[in-house]
Amino acid sequence: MTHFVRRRITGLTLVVVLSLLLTAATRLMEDNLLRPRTWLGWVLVVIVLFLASYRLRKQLAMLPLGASAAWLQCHIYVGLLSAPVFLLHTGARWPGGGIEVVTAVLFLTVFCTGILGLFLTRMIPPRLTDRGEEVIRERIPVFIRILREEAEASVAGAKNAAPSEVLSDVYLNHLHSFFQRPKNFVSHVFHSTKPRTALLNALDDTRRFLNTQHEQTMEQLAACVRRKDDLDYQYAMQSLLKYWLFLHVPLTWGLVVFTCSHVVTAMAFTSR
Amino acid sequence: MTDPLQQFDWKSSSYERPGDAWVCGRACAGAPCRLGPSADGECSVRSQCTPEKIGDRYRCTRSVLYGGKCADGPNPDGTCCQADESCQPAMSLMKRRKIAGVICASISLAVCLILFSDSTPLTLVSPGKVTSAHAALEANCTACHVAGEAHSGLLSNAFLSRNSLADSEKCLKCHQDIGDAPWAPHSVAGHLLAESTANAAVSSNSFGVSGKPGGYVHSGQQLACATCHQEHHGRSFDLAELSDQQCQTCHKTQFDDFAHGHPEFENFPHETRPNIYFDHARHINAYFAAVDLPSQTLDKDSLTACSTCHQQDAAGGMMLTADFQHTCAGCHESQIVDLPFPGVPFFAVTQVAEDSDTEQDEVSVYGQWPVTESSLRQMPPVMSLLVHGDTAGIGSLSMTPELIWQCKELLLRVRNVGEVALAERVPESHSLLHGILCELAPLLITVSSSWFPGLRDELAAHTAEQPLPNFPDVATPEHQAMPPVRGWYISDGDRTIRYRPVAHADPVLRRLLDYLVPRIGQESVSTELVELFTALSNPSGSGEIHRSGPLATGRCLSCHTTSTDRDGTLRVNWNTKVLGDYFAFTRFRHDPHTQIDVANSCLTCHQILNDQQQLDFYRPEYFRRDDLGLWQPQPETSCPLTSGLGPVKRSHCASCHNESTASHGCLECHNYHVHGP
Amino acid sequence: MNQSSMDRPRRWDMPFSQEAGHDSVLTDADIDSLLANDAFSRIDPAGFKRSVPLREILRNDVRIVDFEQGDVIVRQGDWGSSAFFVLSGAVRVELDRGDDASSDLIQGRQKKPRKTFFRSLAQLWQNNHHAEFRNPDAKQSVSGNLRSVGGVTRVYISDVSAVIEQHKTARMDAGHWFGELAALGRTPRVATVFADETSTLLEIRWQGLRDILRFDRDQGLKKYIEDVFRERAMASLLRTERLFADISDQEMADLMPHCRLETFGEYDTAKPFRELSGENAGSVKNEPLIAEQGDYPNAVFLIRSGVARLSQKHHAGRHTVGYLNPGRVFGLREVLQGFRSGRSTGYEARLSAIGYLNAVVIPASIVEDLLRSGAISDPEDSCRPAVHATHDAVDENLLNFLVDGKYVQGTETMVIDMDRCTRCDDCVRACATTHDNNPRFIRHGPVSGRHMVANACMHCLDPVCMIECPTGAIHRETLGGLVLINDQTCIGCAQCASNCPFDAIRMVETRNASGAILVDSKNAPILEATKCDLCHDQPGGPACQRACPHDALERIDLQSLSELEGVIAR
Repeated sequence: MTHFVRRRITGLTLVVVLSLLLTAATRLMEDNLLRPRTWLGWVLVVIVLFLASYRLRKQLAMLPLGASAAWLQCHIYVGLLSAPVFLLHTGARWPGGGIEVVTAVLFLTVFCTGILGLFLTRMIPPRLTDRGEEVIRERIPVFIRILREEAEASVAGAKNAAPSEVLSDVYLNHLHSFFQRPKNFVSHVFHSTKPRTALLNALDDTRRFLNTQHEQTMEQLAACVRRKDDLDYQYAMQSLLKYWLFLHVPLTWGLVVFTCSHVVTAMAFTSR
Repeated sequence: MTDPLQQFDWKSSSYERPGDAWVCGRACAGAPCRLGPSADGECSVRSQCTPEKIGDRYRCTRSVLYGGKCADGPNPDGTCCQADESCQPAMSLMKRRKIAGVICASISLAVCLILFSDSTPLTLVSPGKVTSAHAALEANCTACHVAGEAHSGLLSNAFLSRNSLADSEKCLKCHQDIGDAPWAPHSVAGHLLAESTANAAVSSNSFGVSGKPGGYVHSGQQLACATCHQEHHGRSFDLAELSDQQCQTCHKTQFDDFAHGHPEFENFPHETRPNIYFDHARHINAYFAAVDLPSQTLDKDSLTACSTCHQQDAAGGMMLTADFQHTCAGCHESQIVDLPFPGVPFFAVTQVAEDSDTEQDEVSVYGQWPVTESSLRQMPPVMSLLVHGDTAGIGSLSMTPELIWQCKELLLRVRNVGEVALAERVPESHSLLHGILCELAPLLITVSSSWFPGLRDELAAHTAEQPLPNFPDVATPEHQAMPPVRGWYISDGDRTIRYRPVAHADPVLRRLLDYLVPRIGQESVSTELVELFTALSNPSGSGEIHRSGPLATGRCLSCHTTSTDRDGTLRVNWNTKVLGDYFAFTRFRHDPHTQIDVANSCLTCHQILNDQQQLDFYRPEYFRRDDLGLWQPQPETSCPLTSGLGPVKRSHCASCHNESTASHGCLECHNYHVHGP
Repeated sequence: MNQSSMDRPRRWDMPFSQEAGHDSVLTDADIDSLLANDAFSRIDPAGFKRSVPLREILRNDVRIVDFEQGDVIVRQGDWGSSAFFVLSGAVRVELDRGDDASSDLIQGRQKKPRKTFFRSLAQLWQNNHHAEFRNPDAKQSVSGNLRSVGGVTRVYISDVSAVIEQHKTARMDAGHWFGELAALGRTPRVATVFADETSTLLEIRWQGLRDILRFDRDQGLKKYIEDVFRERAMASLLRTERLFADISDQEMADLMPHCRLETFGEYDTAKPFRELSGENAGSVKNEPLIAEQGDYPNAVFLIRSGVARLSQKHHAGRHTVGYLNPGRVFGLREVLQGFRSGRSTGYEARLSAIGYLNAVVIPASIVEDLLRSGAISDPEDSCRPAVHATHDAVDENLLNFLVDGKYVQGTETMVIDMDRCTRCDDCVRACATTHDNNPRFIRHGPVSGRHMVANACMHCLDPVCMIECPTGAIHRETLGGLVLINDQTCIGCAQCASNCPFDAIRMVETRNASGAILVDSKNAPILEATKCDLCHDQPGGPACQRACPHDALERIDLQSLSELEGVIAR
């Protein structure tokens, strides 16, 4: 059993044990008329603030605040623990008040995007390693430009050869827009190679009209298409790895604000 | 193998700056410049150079960063030949995410600030609908919350200490029937609760209060209403729900449920003191079985049916006992009405005490005093009370000349002013007697003229200290032992005014006992009252002091018990028991239960005790006369006065009220608020 | 105008005699007297290039330093880049080699000036807004007269006689060189040296010494150095090998004349290194052969500096089975085995130099003689295997990749597990935060399988980047061997960036406080070499590694594979 597997099992076990303990504590407090909801509310506030503070840890990279990896582990498992705590806090009832509904919706959205992010960050990297050249996402437009220039150059013809009109047509009809910018985002997200196959087929269909020299050009074009498609894949996947945070992080700040409002109203109106 | 797209050497690849806020505007098109935008998002590309003048020629000074010296060189006029290639930098992904975060937080903050602003109705922060009973209050937060009263106070209300019962006080504006100690456990003041559970706590330790941490002890700690009643959980939420476990928060002895561990009903109902002494076992087994029943109104079959005497009340919850006329009267009325009882004397011309030293001429000393052979030797207590006036307790029941004169003065005054004269004689506190005195006054007026014809002259002479005038003797009819009438009457034979009880529940006797019983225990009680009570409460008494005989007066307390109120006064239980107080804590309705087993329904739970020992109902050793002369059940004996019914068995209740029917919770039978609905 | 003009820094802008904490200027008279000294008198100045005359070397790469009695001159374990010549007085070399040796001597060692917690936190708001900010004034004041950066704190021994009593020391009188081996071999100082009496020492930068060695037609100094090595350093080097650790001084003295110091490949240039890592990467053929697999084991190799590859023949090609770093021994196993069985076996693997290799060659016969005489005992069980055991975690592809790419040089190689890396760039951002808002590495680099060696400074065992540096701006930190660039002395010549085989050094256009690019009088931007400094001044260590949320990025010391194995096996 590797270190990571052991860590995962320990983490999940801890989450399960802690949620069971919390459930038992809630029952005990309920039986003793001790208002576990209020107590769980504070637990949830602490959890939400801790989870949100992971962003601050990233900001304070220069300080010896413990490795970010350790923080992420805590972030993940405390995040998982937050769901049972949330259920215990709400009593598994859908809240009735405005602030409470918004807070619950925000919490659940942030929680779900967190789970989605966890899924993505664990699923995508091996696929990225697997396919195409490892590139920095910000530089992909540059490489696309290089490939476009390469493709256009091969279509325009070598120094001592006339360009093939067939290939020019295919380039203009099918490939020109393909080489402009990252394409087929959705297909790549769902691991579909349909657009890639379609383009390669379109190129391959021209084979019967080409002489040997132009056939070579066509092969060069096909190679460009494959590399461009790999770049698109890298772009789509790396983008996905960044886009989910556009939900997870901003909504967290909304959640923190609404949590504070909820705490103020709950504490102000509760009969202690 | 194709060449890799990226190159790593320092000339081809410079640092990526993912933390920067701006990226080159041309990055998207795949042609970012090496410099990148400035930190403020301005393009730092200077494609144009400032040509350097060397001699009369201009030389291009464009640095390698921007492409090096251009082939064309500067224009002849010294300007750069290149076009301006600066771009409009774009925001980086990081910056966009930050902006999204700021927007999200700002919107949330704005929404929250609007929600908390003074002009926003407070109902918008309501955490949910209230129960339908409270729905009318929903629009008005301040009806229930102190916090709603001032917006500015929200924060301080949330985090500073405040009166924990402030909100609960608002509940009481509507819920006024919770009693004097609404927030005490069970809404009962601590000392009362301790008192009423003392028995249970001592005997079985069942209802003791725990001192465990977090538990509420009834040491004066007060519980806010919201401890149990939590609102804003929807229209149909059960506010009064309380689990068995929650009940046991305070109770020291924890038990699983009703069937397992709940205390037995060991003394209910058969050890509970009945209001009317009635032994069901004796009556059913011995008396009703007897052939020669004297009853004219009840036949034998109906006697053994419970419903003959007991019927549910209109609501069906409680079993009532039918009135005397329909029940006991059948056999026992004659024992009350047909007795040869001459009646209770209230006024009498008594024998003058023998030991008086005024021997010379009796008549000259006290005038006319028409004593007969059968005149009483002592004054009746009421008469003594009236004659002595409010000098209660020092008078003697023996007649003396001075007392005779006082008697005459009283009679004269009654003749003159009526019952007011009597009312003056008794203290204000004895107002209960007034009714009787009012009835007595006309009789006194009658005898004042018939027995003392010269009363006025005689008294005038006595006052002027002149010789008393002579009057003819009053005629003395023969004394009749049994008068022909009931009620008030004048017995000329023995010169008494008597009252002979009319029937069961005689109003005069009842009034007298109501007057006497509470006073008997008090220290300042007068001799007359003690004597009067002794006469009336003696079950074998004659109605007259120191004379025995089967008199009806004492028989009231043969069946009607006395019991002590919460404030310590003794009262006579004239009516059958209505279990009002008891049922404040425990609920029971007969009607649903009687539906289950109609044929033999009562006896299913109320078993008649056929034990021989229990049948000896009226054995003398079960009674004693206490210091006050009251007949009391002997406390030492285990079960001296019972209804003759066995205890209701818990196991029997539990045959239905158990886990399978889920009707075995605390709240199934018990109310939390003892003073509440 | 978005440019700011200043003078272009050059080599010798700042003479060695004026560097950090020193302010004595060498006058012409000083130089004349130096040239008359034994150390330089036999050198023919005519052999030197016109651009680098001997006189200028002395003026700029040499300084005269006075030491009081007890002053510590160099300390064992320090990375030094200068050599010393005793002009007058005498110094004492501390000869004990144990771990606790001269602990009292080195207790005053300079600690790394780490930032305090709050200074570190202050980077949040104190970091410069603009990229690559440099203070041009700081640089210009350096090229002027005086400056005091850091200020050299000199450690001294208060009770010299007590130290001499307690420790084995050797006195070195005027006219001797020392420290030259460490300076040239790019190895740590092997011994602590302190002043025995008030002494005047000449200190020369290794660049100066290198130039003298290169252009001196007489080669007298070079021969002297080789002799001195045999005399001084060999014993301590041999004793690092367990087999010879306990032999007596006499036996050591007998042993040493038979041992040769040999250099394979080019000694003082980065060229072969660069070429090897380029086109012919992975071809064992081109590497200088030291010992062939199957040959009779007639020598034991003790590696002093450089890295060697171990490979075994496999069909038409070769398996890389491991590599040897300084301090490792090759051939001893075979010799011992032969001694034990009385039957000779060939070398188990081929030993070839990666770039260059500096090794002590001990003839097998001498080792056998020693074994026979009982001077050394045959450590039957604990003999260090020459060939790495088969590694489960590190497969051969990765091993080839590491050795071919010379990444095994690295002591702090940045290895990223691309199966875990989410490309979040937290590492780069963290790096920027700790370096005044400037990243010091790029998250790209060669990939093998799922492992990427990112373009971040590996802090090589043998930093070839330092070879061509004209000013010594790129240097080894005295303790720990980190390779750092002093941006106040860097002139932006890009030699180091071009020399680095791992693309770990990058030239940047420096800017002033308003974000304007600094340019010289000809409008050419002032460049400066930048690279990873391993956050040596941060309280928490390398920020990149700590900032990685997914346990993907690790800084690994590749001197042994165990650390890498540990990371891969997680």
